[in-house]
Amino acid sequence: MKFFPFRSDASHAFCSGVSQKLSDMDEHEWDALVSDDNFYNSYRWLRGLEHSLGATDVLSVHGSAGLVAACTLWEGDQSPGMFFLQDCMAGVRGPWQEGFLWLGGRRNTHNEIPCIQGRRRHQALAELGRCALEYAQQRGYAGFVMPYMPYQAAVEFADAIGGAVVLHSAQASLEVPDTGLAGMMASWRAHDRNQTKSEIAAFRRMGSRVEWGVPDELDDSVAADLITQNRSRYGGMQDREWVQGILAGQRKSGVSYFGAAAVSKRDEDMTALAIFYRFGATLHLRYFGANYSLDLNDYRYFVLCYYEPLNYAAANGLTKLRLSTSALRAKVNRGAKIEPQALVVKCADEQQICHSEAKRHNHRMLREYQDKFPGHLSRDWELVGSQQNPTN
Amino acid sequence: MSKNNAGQFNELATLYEDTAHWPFRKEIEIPSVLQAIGDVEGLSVLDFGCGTGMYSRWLKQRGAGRVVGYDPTKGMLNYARRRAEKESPGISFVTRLSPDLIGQFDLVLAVHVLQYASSGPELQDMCADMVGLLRPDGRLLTLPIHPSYDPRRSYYERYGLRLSADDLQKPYVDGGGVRIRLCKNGKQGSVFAAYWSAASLERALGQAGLRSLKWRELDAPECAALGQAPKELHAYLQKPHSIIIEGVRARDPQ
Repeated sequence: MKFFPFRSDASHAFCSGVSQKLSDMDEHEWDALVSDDNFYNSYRWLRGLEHSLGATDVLSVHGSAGLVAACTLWEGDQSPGMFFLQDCMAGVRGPWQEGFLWLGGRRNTHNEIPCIQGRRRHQALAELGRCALEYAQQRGYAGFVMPYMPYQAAVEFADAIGGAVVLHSAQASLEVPDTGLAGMMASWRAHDRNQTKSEIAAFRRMGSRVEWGVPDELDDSVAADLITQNRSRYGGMQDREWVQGILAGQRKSGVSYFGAAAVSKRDEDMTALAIFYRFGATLHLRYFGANYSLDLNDYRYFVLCYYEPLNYAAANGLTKLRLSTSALRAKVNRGAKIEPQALVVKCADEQQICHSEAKRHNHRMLREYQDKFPGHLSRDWELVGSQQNPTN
Repeated sequence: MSKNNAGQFNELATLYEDTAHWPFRKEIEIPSVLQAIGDVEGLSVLDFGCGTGMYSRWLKQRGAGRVVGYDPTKGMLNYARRRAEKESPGISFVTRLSPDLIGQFDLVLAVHVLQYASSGPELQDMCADMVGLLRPDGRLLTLPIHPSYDPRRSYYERYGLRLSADDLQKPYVDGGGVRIRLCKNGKQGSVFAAYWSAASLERALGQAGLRSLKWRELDAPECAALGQAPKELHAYLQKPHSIIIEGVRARDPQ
């Protein structure tokens, strides 16, 4: 152990840098900056991606006592989909066909910057943004983006770096009552309660049952097969080997330690599975897979992804269930709230994005969601509304 | 602890956790505290000002029943939560003391906390909070700045620690400012604390309802005699910067 001489009090400035892999960083130091909701930027999740897909560069900002902000980098997808910038920015003019640097974990549908709390948080975010822009410019990118941010986190980050906030997605989540599904159903209208009861009854009538386990006990090839069947059905391009590689990476990084798998079975046949991750007080749904060669109309998706996890979460002291960004109508019909998600963009050439146009776009999206999901929007949407006022 | 005092720890989590490996803590403070605590099997424990949660994790691993870590600093608690969920699941960490915690604990541990009371009333409130969490006959163990610490700022430097009194001429004045700095491997951080005399500490703890107060000097429990402790720790052992105060919550607080 080496004790260096004490430095003067003036040495409180931040310094930033780029690492070529996450393993250059200390796990506990990184995770100290990660809040309960930010699971997909936690160390083990990102290390899992590194094991599966290869290392990416990492931006870091250090203060005199250690790491104060950091994030991993990637390039987004080059074909249409959830991580294709032209799709994310549809409706807002800008150079989106050019290359942009992406901040956050690869294919993350929830991103926040791992960053210190307290009075220097704003400064730390600003320094990370400065470092990201410098990195982007040196490598010929037109700027950088961080997608799928909770709206408040996006506003905070954009404010620190002088970027623009563009709504582009929404995420469903459920507050978990202490009594689980029963408590949730008690808050519903009779029609919704009856629908849930009949779906669960149909599941049981078909001879299906649910078993909870840990992902490490699953056969990766079987799990990957079911997940790939589901993804292919909804336009996913990745094949079974890709999914299997992702699961193997998670096993290696240790993130599967946080996992919980709900498996539906008929006799000894696995008919579907849902994989969740516990983090802080939140249960995150990440994967659903099903054997679609079995023509079962047994509502296994709803049983595995909504009903069972409510009981599992309540029994394990978890207070929130995060259900990701797809199939929002089905989620809302089962008690979920919809939260706005935004992309923060910073162009190297400031002229290339019109902030007032981004605000108009956000306002249109707010209206659209208010029309589609009245009574089911989280309070963050009120903030979106208040930000549209030109005086704000 | 005031919000300002709590806020000064937001960036210090990793550095603070690192101190567990520094010789003066690893060889002296931590074994002294764990020895003073003794068997925790099945006990309900509240780690008051838990910081990164290191003692919470160790006590859980040693068989404590319910373990709650309390710290008003979000930066510290983030570290505590993230690390405990990997190493010692089942600890709950809170940023405020809710009424349902009052009178629930067999043991309240408060390591390096009382020095962050910046005034007499704040010291009194802090002691009342700690003692109020105990069941009758429950034990409090706390480690303030040693009332006889060495105020020369170079004294503890070899241990990665620097304590400097705001007023070097009068370092032992109640409420007097003490700057505590930590420095290791090029990382450093500092916080502002306050000095409290033995009389003030005893008065505040006594008024909070703590009885049978005992003062325990830190030593090196692994060594049969102090003289057998590693030579580099001798200076610290002669003038440790902290001390253990132990007491029991009275059944009928006066």
